[in-house]
Amino acid sequence: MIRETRVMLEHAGDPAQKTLAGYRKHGGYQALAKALREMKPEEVTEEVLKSGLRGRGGAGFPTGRKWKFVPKTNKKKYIAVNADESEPGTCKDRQIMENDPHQLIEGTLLAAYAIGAETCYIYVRGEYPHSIRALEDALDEARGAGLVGRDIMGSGFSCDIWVHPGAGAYICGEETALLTSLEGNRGYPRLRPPFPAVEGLWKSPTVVNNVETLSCVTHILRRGASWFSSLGCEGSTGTRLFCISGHVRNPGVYELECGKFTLRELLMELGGGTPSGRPIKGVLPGGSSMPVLTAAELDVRFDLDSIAKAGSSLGSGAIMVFDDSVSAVDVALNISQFYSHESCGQCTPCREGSDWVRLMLDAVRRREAGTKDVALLLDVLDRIEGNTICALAEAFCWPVRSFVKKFGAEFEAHLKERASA
Amino acid sequence: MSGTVNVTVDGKQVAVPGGLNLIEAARYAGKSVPHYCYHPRLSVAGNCRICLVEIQGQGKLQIACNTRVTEGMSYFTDNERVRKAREGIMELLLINHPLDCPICDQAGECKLQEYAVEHGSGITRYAFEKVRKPKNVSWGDKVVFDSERCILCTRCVRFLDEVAGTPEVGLDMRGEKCTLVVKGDGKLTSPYQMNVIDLCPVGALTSRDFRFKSRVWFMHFTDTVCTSCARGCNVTVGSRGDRVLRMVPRANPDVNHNWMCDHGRLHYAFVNDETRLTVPRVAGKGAPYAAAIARAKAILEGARGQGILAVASPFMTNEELFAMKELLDRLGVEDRFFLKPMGEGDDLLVHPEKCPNARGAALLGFAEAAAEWPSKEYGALLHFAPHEGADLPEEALKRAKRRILFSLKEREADVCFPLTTWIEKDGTVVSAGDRLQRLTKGITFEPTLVTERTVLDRLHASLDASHRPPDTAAQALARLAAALPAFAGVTWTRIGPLGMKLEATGAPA
Repeated sequence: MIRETRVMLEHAGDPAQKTLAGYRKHGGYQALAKALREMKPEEVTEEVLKSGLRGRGGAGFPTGRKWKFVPKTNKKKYIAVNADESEPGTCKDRQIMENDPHQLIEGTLLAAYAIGAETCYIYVRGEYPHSIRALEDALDEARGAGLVGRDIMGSGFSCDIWVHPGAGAYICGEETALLTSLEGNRGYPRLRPPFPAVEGLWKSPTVVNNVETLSCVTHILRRGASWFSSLGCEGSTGTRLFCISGHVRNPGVYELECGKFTLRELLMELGGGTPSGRPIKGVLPGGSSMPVLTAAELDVRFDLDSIAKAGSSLGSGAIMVFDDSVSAVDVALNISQFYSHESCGQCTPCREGSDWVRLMLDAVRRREAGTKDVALLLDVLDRIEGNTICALAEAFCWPVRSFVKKFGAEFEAHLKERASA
Repeated sequence: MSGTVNVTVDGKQVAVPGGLNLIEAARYAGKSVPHYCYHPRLSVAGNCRICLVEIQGQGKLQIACNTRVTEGMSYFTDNERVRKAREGIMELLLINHPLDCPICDQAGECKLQEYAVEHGSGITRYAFEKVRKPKNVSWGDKVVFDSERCILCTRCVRFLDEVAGTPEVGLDMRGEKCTLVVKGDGKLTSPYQMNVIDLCPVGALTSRDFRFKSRVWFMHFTDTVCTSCARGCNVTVGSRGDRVLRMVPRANPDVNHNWMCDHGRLHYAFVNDETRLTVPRVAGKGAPYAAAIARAKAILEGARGQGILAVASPFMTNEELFAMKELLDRLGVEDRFFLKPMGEGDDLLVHPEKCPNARGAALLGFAEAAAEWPSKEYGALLHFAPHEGADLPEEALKRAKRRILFSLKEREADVCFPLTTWIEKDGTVVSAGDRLQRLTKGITFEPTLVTERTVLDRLHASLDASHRPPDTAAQALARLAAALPAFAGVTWTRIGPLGMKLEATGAPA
């Protein structure tokens, strides 16, 4: 039987955990105290690097390596916490922010200490008022106790943290658009290079980390890198939050160690299978922006690299399941509607292409498209993918292409030639 | 970054200056990479994606505008993969474009047209209704915006922010509904706003002044210099049927980069004014040039004993001023002045001297007129009326018994010769920073008109049969250069289309 390994959510059920006293009762801020007293900033980075922690926002980049890109200059540096949890199906970061916000604050301070930042911003999705409130309350308490602000714990290290609510655009979860938005501008992704670690907020070195990533940092520093890397498996160390939704009996957020079971086992045992008892048709294993896995592809080991090898990605940890009552054309159309609505409009392929893709899928659904149109759809995806400033183009190209390829017969059945027959 | 970097462009090895982006570097290999949003004088936006190139060793195509050369880099601007991507971008740019070229002012000089021919597939596969966006939007009295034609390259946004210093255009909405908006009351305020029309690579921003006046392929273009102030912005004048239709800046890194002010750009109506004087007037009546010159000769000869007042104009070319100087030398005239119109300047281009050649007039020996005119009485006045700004005060005009005027419009005088404007003749002027620049003839307003230099030379020859006037402006310049140390070594060819600094004057750059 698959069991949860609760680290970040260990005390999520305890209302006292939201308070500073409650958090301290379970070892809160000891990692910070230890780091400030006994460790050099580089040692904090080394510890994170050793733990094998990879970013939990979607791209899975090694966190310690990201921190090491920050140049050792006297320039002001920033931490920007990506709490703009907007990927359809994803609802894990709010569990941390609303139930145990201090672990995020502690992790943010550790990251700030490691890279030498004195100012941090938590960019929270505007539709998360409870998260914003919980963070503000926790920050007030932490500030009052001298844990945030000037001369933290008498160490000489000063660092302040500010909560910044977003205004509802999906694109602001893209790390460079998040920075542009934080600066008070329209949420537009930026060209890379330069990367944020070198030139981020107001042209200063900036590390952008996800809420879950920084919460992991707290536990890594509290219990050690080797403890962390003993959890999970190679390439997917530690525990990870997964949001299971759609056609499962037991939807919810689960904290799991990767590499111990297959995706099918996860969905059947923890997810409880489909409520209708109908067979699973497909699974989006990492949010709506990832390629779909079919029922035949579910026996893949559940970890970052294995899922990647199977042609998809764990992305932001949102596992969306649908049974065979669902039309693949409908899902593809739904996804394309979301991304064409959220395309920021900055660069040509995504601005023009996302809507064209939506219209083509809509024509298929209305049985107004012909055989040639499906080939055209794939060709247009080819012209868009890889040619844009940010990954939003891939976010609709990948799933749409996977649906067309893997459920080709269903698309065929929707074509007008067939419909009239 | 400095020094030279070796790169390979489409298999051709070239050495290029370090720090160049891949668009500029490709030029060294004779390759042009298409681009819409990239502009060498603006920050890199990287949004149009038409400049995608393949860099050896990199998986994804990269935009050439945001990539700098590195030693040993090899990239392809023209292989199959790049061509396919480019064709895709072209198609995407056009799916929601109205394709209203038949009624679009940009037609004939539109990058969408040019690249569609060069890089497009020639067909569209888009079978849906196009997105509707605001059309014929007034951005004030100078610029008109069509959002459906706009490709959102943000050149206008960046120009107003980065060059003009008035960040007044922004973006509204998202995705395919994205559109430009002018902040505040929706009207542009920048005195440089019309540069966004030139910067716009498509027909989204058009000039209210030039709209629907002419197809550009029916026009004649002349590279010359703006004469509205001493800056001497390099311009290209567009004309048709010997009337000026528009003026746009011409790139000159030492003078105006790629810009010009709106005032200068729109300051050409006086050229086309149909009420201009086109034949000389003698005592208020039209007269042939020969008769007017004979009358002027008689006036000047008769006034010799009583003194002659000469007032030149800072709108005259150096060659005209030199012809006047030779005539005045011959007549022994000592009181030589010019009037300098002054106004407001700014930090970008606008110069407080509202004329093109005050410096030239000074170098040719004319003194800037003081506020108080000498109380002397004169037998005759030889006066080139300035195109604009304060003319000679009445009291000064009245000091002379007889008056020979050169004027755009008919004036009360014994003899009144027509002036020609800067676009009707070749010549040189000395712009700000002692920069010698060429004016080039673009139109003939009326075939009857004789330019001022010829009139002066004929007048001179009538007084002195030995006077051998130069024929062309280049010859006149050579004569001037031989006579005046400040112009030593200067030739028409040496000045070139971008002008040259007059080193001998010792003025700071």
